[in-house]
Amino acid sequence: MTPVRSESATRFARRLSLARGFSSWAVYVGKAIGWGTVLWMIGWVVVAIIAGAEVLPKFKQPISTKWLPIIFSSLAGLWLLFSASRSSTPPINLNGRDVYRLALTAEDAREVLDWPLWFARVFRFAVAFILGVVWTVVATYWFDIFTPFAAITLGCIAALTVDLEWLAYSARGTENTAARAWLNALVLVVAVSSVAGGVLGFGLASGFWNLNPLGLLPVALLVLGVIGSRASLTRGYPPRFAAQSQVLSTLRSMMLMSLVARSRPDPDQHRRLRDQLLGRVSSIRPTRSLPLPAPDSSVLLAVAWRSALTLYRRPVFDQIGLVLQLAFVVFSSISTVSGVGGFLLRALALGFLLPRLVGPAMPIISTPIRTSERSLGRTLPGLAIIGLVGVIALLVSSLLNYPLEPALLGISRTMLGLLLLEKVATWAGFASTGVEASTSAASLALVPAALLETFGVGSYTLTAQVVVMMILLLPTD
Amino acid sequence: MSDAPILKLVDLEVVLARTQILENVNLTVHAELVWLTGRNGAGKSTLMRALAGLLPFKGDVEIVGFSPRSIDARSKFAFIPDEPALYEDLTLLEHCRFQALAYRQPQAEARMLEFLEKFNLEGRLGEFPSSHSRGMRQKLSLSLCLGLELPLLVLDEPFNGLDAPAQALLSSALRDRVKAGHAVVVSAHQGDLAKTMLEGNVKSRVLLIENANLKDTSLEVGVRVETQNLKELNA
Repeated sequence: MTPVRSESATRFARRLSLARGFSSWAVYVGKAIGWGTVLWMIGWVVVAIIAGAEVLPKFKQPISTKWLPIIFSSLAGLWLLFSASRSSTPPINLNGRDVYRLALTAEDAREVLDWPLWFARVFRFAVAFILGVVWTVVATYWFDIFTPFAAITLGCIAALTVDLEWLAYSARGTENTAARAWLNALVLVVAVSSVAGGVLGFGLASGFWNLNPLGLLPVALLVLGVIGSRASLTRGYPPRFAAQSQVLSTLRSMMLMSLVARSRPDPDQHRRLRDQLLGRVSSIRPTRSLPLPAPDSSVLLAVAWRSALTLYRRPVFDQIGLVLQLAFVVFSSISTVSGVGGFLLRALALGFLLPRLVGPAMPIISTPIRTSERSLGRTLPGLAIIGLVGVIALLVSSLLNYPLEPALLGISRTMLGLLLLEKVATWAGFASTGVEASTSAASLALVPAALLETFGVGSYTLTAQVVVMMILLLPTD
Repeated sequence: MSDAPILKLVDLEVVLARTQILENVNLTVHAELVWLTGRNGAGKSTLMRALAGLLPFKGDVEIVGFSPRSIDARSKFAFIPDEPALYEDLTLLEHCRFQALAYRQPQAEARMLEFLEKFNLEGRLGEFPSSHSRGMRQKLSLSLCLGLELPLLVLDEPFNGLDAPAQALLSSALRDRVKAGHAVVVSAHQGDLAKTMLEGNVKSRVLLIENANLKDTSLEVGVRVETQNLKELNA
């Protein structure tokens, strides 16, 4: 029997999984969207880009290119130096299977990580390349300069961020001298070439304003970055890589699944995984807690307590963001935008807000919690927050001598939307963070106002919204 | 004690992905320990999920006279799946309070905490279970279930991941449960554990799932365990 060399084993496994993955993806896209539709859309995107370029306003005098070197050199330099300082998480990861099947075996780390590194580089290169093409078009029209190398320059800078992030990650707190040396060397070259580009007009990002092929310095830097990354793997993986790969793999699957399901990933689960990834204490024990409910509390109170606990344990910035978003939605009722535009605007604002106010999902199929208890318990803390912000809104309105009715309308509409979101999610089996559930609930919450205004009895909107809320609060089981 | 069965399955049939997993399963369980066994993929977990109301099925399932999906039935039994199903956002202590309140059994919390202490988890009460090992998560899951006073416990492979003292503790807790007049349905492959449990002078049966059917391989109950059947268990 011919022995199989380890290199070919890695490639064999990779080729198989890639072929199967690509095949599944192709079938999925074909069924979900249709390849004909995809081609048709790509065709129209090209037409749109060409049409967009043709309608760009032309100036009598081209814009001065005097500041371009400083602006582009600074931006490119800062981007790369920022990447070189990102050392807490790797830019790539192995999936759970590869961690066990490849990373923990005698396989050469360079062989194993070759594919993920190249995939990350090519992905970033492709996105940046498209932006570079757009710049080439814009520069021709507005600055009267021809920059054919802008796309390659930007692509290479974007791809280089992968290697800088990897080297920074590998060099952190370890004896990996190769990674440290390559990182230092690249940072030095980036800094010098960035300053040179800004001062002398020739350096890191000169492909953005210069026709000289020597401006393709980022290509050389990228080559050095690739060599550096491979050199950093000579002695194996960074110590935290396997553990962090597992968490990153879960995080990325979660993002992908939510993309497929057209919903936002569960923010609390996402936060817990992020904490775990960074080894924060909050991934093991909570940093904030609410008092436990009394031992003889009702089931409703227990569910409401759990929902409140989830909202309370979110980071402070998230909580401030939620209050600001809520204030915006409540006060948007005062805005003068009316008609279909106003309806859509309010529905959109409400749709973004509502999932952040509802408590965590709670399967009741195997526990003796009634649907009505779960439903109300999940929304009670959100309703209380809306009420609190509503009181402030009313106070502000009265201080500014605004009429109180628009604020009251906004408050009751948001409350109605929250109750509807929970009901829609429960009845239809959608995740409450899903686009379907949140947009349906937000649109339905606006229906009473839209209908009554259409029939010229808009003054009854507040009463109607309160009546619908009361109906939704009735127990259904 | 009433003669009414705690669990009753009549002509239970489960078909998943056009595959017949269970067919004509009939079972009546009183206050006893029912040990479900069978090869991997035989349908043990499917049977348990069906009787917990988590899978679609044909036939009748009654838990203390109620349909498994009804709120009345749900307050009479607890089901532990093979992978512990926990709230990752609650600490161990919070789990106990929440579970006790959800089942309207305020006294259960103290019993759950007692089990956690016996499982050596008393020092980890303020931690999230997501940071714990498989065995620790299983111990929490079991404590939450064993602390409740319920007529029926359905445990899918509860011994997996447990250390030896925890396995002994669980065996003893389940025997006590049966002696107290409750029913316990357990699936497991550990024949040695079966022997320990069935010899514990409690009413018990060993049921084998084979070819989509349930066979009563009993093993007279509460008296002795036939070696042949234990060999089957260990196979």
